[in-house]
Amino acid sequence: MPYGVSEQMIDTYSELIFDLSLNKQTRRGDPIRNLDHEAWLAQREATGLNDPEIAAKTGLAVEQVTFIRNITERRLFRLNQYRKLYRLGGGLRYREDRYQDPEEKFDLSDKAVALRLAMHIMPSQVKKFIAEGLWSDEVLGDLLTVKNPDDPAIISAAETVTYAQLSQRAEQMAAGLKDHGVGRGDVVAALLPMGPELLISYFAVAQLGAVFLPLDPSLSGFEIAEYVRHCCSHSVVCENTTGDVPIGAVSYRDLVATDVPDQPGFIQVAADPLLLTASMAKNEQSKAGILTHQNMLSAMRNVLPLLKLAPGAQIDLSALPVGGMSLVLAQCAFAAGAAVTTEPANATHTATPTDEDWIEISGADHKVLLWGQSDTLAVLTTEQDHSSAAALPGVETRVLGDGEAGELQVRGPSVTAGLLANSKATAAAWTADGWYRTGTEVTIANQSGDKICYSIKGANQ
Amino acid sequence: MAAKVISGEANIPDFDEAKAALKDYALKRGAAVFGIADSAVVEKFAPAGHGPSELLPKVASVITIGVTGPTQGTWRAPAKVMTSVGANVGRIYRVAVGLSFHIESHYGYRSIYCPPHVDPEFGARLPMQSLKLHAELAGIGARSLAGDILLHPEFGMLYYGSVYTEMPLPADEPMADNPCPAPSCVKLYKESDQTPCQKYCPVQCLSGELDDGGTVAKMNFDMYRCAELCQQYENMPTIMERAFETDDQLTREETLYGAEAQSFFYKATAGVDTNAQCFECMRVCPIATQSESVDPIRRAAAARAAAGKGEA
Repeated sequence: MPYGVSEQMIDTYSELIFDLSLNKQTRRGDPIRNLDHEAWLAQREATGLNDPEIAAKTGLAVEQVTFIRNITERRLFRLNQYRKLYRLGGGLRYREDRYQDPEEKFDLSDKAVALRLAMHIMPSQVKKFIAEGLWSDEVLGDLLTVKNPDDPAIISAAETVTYAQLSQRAEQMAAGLKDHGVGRGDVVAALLPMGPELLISYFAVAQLGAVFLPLDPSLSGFEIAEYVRHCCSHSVVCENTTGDVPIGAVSYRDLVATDVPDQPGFIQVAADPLLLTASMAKNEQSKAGILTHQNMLSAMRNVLPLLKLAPGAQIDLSALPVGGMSLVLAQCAFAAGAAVTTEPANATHTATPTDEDWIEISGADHKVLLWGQSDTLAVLTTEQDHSSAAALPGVETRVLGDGEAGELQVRGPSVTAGLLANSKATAAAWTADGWYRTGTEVTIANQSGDKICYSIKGANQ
Repeated sequence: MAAKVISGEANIPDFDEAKAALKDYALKRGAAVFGIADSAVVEKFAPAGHGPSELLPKVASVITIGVTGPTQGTWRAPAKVMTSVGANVGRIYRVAVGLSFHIESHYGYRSIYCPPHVDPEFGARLPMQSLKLHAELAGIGARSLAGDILLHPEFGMLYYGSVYTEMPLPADEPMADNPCPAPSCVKLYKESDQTPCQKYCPVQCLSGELDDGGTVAKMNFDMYRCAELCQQYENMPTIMERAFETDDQLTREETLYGAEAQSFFYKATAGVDTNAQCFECMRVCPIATQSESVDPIRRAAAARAAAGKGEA
């Protein structure tokens, strides 16, 4: 008990001593410059007292005052205030309403932390993807920086949404989700069909640094409830919140009606998780692949040149189940300045699931086939048929089995960073040397140098 | 004129002449302003236990000097650069310590350089003596809305140093007018209820009111907020405490080895850069940055012009 000061005494006197001390100073007028000693004495207490003066006032010993004051100062002291200076100067001034503490920017809930802990990418793979330019600092929101904001971005039976409207509504919805308590790293599910609501939700969630969990409306009520539970979704965005809706349902319409506050912009980080792809694992427990901005954008960059989308083109995604692949194709449309449509009539391109894990995209004068799973996104492609698929750029493949047939294993920039909360599925999904086990049987159709073409027979073939 | 015995009784100099000579000495060595406060008046206004006689029992005069603040280039630098190179305290030490030796050796009066540091008896937030009080009473600065930082109408923000001496020098008067707030600050206050220094303080430690005539009615300074930002040396116990308390290894490592902790320990152990200054309130202060003689470039040009005229 230093100087006879107990914790109770600190409780009793700390605020009083702190307020009397130099820590809080108030001056009225200019008494010293005016040599007005009486006026100075009259406000002496407000200008801040030294410890002997406080001791005389409170009846404590000077040593006790000094101790209590110093302890109080220590307990109130906030670290890292110096950071507020880092972006100032050279014409930039501090604005309280625009400053966000770096630590607060990365505040994560326990659930968000759990999601991050499920991510594990081999260091050698990261080095390779960065060195080869397959991963960059590009984030989903960058796709909304377009040359022609008045061009259509999403076309549905009900409306046509321009790029400017997509951007604005995403910003409004992000503000709505934030008001609803969604923070960085939180999972937001969307029980919406392909269309404006789904895609606006995707960009809105990304703007918050949150994680998007698309749930196809064709899923059973059990599956939806299970995936929402498994992924610890903070909220489930639905078209409306009446009737049979999952726990945590929140109305899309309410969210986009939110005013955008004048606050610091939300920060998107390319290496952060962006998407969860929920499905049932072979152990009959839910699993959710975690895909980052880098995963989703590298998949987009691989697929984009294959689609031959020109500005003004329209790609119909209405036949695809809502999930990682359909979102990658939507990203391709936005990157090309084209539009996503759910109206087949005017579409220049149509995406169709042709078999398990296969999607065919056909345009006026060409078609391309993509093969990939929800946790790998597109990793193989062909312009011919299922018997001649080759790896997309940056994707490594190998076959584990006898001779030229066996399980296809892949590594690549679009392969999931980890599986959420299913340790058995995680252990089963990767080999010790970091290859993702697709569980799909393939045959090597032909090999020329490093290029290997695989034959993947789907369930219908 | 010089007396060679301490507390001169041998030769009594002309104190007006001595004051002029001391001012000349200080200005030649880098001071921008020079003034003398009556030690009895300082004693009257100083808090108990913090008057000049605590340091020099027979003190008669408080000499106070000010050196100019940052260069014009420095005012335009990023804030973190300004905190590193904005201060000019080294020049004060040279002038003020020089003065104290000069008075003893030339005039025979005991003198002491007034320590600008905190009082070891009370911790990090109580100064041993108030240099601000000396300069204000000597008429080389007036209290501003920016936490009572002194401002000079010609030289803006200055760094101050004091010398106590037993030599009974003629005292100066405080300034007749306070340059703070500047007319443009009064205008902003009328529009937004805040002056620039209040508005742009990174820790929002300043507030106050102006009266209808545009002078200071009330100045509030939350010094503890300013200290959190400016007095980085106070970080250390908090860093240690947080490191001890956390159960999370990564948090412990960030606390001890994060960028701010690393830079603080670097400054503290290498003895480089300042760890006790932020300039943001002064950066937006028109008196600090735009006063007549605050700009070394304009000041030198004026001096050259004056010298040219003299030669002609």
